[in-house]
Amino acid sequence: MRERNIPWKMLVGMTVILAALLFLIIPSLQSGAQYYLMIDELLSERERYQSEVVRISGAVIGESIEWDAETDELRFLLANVPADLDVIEAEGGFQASLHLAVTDPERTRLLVVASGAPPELLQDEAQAIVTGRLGEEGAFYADDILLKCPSRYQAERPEESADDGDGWSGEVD
Amino acid sequence: MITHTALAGLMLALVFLGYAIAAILLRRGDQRWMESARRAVQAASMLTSLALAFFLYLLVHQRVEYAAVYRVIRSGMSLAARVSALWGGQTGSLLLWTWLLGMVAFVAAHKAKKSDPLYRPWLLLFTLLPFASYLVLVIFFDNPFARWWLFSDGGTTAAVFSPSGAVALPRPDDGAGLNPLLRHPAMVIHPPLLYLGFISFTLPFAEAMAALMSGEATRDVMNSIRRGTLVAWFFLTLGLTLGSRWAYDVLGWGGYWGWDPVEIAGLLPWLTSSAVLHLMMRGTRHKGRTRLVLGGTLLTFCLVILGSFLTRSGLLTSVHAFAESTLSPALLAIFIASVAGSFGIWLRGRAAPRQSRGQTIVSFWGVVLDGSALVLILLLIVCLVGLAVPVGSEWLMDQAMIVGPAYYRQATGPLWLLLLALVAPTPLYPHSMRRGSQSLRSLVVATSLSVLVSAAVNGLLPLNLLETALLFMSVLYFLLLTEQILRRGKDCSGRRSDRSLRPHTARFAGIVLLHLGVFLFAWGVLGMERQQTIQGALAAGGHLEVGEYTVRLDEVVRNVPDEQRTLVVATVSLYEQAPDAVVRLARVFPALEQDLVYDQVRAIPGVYSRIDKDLYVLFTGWNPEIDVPASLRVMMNPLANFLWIGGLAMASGALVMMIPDVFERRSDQDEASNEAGQ
Repeated sequence: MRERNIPWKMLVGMTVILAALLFLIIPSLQSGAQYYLMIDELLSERERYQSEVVRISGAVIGESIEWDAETDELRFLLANVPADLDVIEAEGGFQASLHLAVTDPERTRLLVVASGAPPELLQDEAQAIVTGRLGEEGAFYADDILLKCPSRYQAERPEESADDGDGWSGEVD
Repeated sequence: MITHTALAGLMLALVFLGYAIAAILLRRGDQRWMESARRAVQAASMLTSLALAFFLYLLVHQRVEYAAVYRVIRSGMSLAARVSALWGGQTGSLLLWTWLLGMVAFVAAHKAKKSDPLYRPWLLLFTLLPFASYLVLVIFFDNPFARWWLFSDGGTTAAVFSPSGAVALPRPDDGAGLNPLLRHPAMVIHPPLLYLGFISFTLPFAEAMAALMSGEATRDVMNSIRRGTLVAWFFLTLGLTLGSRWAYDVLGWGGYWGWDPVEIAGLLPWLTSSAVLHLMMRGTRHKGRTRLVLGGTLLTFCLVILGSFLTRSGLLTSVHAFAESTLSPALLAIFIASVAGSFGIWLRGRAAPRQSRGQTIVSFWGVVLDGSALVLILLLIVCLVGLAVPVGSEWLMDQAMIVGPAYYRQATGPLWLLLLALVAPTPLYPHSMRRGSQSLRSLVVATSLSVLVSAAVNGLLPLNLLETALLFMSVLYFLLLTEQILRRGKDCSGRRSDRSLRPHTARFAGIVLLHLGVFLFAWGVLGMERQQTIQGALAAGGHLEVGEYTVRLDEVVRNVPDEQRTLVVATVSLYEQAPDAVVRLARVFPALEQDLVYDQVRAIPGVYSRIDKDLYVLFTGWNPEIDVPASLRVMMNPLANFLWIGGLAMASGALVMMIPDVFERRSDQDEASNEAGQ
């Protein structure tokens, strides 16, 4: 008969552990989770995201990169890339989509302001994933830039398909 | 010729594995069939080795007409670089991974020779299933021997055999070459060590599965699982340490751990295997405990497979990620199969140890060891939640969310601290903590002394709360260790029948060293929290100040070491402002390396390293046309070296722990004969 007793000690222990875990996770999620947005999504709900740290993704417009060594300010434009994977497929894949985003003057562009010298992978048609805040005057102030360059070695290889794995990226503060 | 031999070898290996699987499933009762299956597995591993050797031959001889070679090789690479290009690209690293699985299967087949006939077929099956799955990926999804083919319309493709209507593309003049970021000494050994760590978990996994299938969770099997887990833990710890060292040197941000999803994927099996090792310290005679240990072992393996999927899935944005690849659906399938198989067998399997004696008693060490395992599992849950947020939020809210380092720092911080508190009494482990025992008295005295010491130090130095807490625990650990050494193992209270854990054994020394490494690492982490950064543009002769240090730019020289790159090297002098004088500490040479082939600029830091702090100088930009042509970023990283020393101490501790296994077996036998004699 003893086996049928409800293991109260066990239940209480589990509840306490679960409560502690939620106590750790929930506030951390509230402060640590960020929206991950495309530029159009960010700008369409400007007020909602204005006060928050968000992460945005876009295509780097190479000729817009400027760095002032004296003030140590880095500025560049990011062009909107579609959020929907089907749209990206329809545009001919991720790399083609980045290319289209940079060359199409109709795309929404966002000025990104950061500090420090341009990171090594910051170049035309790279995908930038930028963490920061949207300022009141419309520029995006970046704390962190992560870059991915899927197109980096394509031109040099004898094939066009993008099925290999050399999309390394660098991270900067 | 090479291609055909290697391909035939790989195909034959797959056929052998298929044969072995069929033999195990259909004829496992017959020892002759099992012997034959065992040999088939060993033959398959040998054939995979052959394919690996051929692929290495292609890399070393720069045969860029092969697509996988083309992507990572270019002329002018040293022999070491060409060999390490094996794991620089996706194709080669998949082959390496599969080959290591083959080696594990080989070892398992060797072990199976001597094991129980009921247990043997399952041990074989659960090492060869992962091996065969990845071999399928190598052959059919990402073949290392694929070449370039040209279609009549001008399109090209990489394939093993000539597609219809295509002709072989002439051999390209040169390959694309390894990404410059990967050319670092740590990169030569960090990935293989990590792979070795990950893959080594396959053996304990297969043993655990076999134990569940056969019901043979004997002491030998459990000991073997413990040894296997420890070996894998050793390689994983070493691999993670070297990886963080690579990040520190190469990524040019002066950090060592960024809570990047792929880093976390590497941490997950480390957490679960550490938990398993702690659970096993209390013996595995109790049935529930045996099941828990086996479950943890299976979970560790599943997390390894999860990591191999996440790295290539494109689901996560990461420094380490290979781009989204055609492999990801197949890898996801392998992951789902591992989880479903492990969990199903764990739930239904019989794992009653033969003698189910002993019961769990609430004791001091019980709380410490099981508590450590629990905290490690809570850390795992926190990390899994973090990894799940991007996928889950998209699903549940149709809104992509991401968690950054802030989440992990906040949520794991208290847990790491709790873990350290549980580590602190380790040096007393061989002793009983019964009421009134000398050990309990030692603990009380040492705790009081540690409180006094840390309070006093806190008065002298501006320590924050965390640092004070860590200081208290470190002093406690140190005092207990000192007392332990002075006592030289007296007063063991006759507690343990397990002689390998007497205070003078190598195994115990290993445990103490390992946990000392934990404290050193923790100091490294807290030291790096006090990192100071300063950035500025300078002309020659200009200087920056960080803390009590002055950083002076002496000169900048541009040179061209070879056709493929240019180097702009800054000469930077570091001075320390002592109270009465300014002392020159060192000169460092941070550089900007421009890779002409990749058109990529890389900052190579100049690091002045001392035991108490690193001065980390990055040359971030150079424009000779303006007045202040060079921009430098200087970081002062207190206690950075403690990170690597701590990591190495942890790994060495595990290594030392492995030594006494010889004695342990002997003492087990002594014990058995004593028991028999009584």
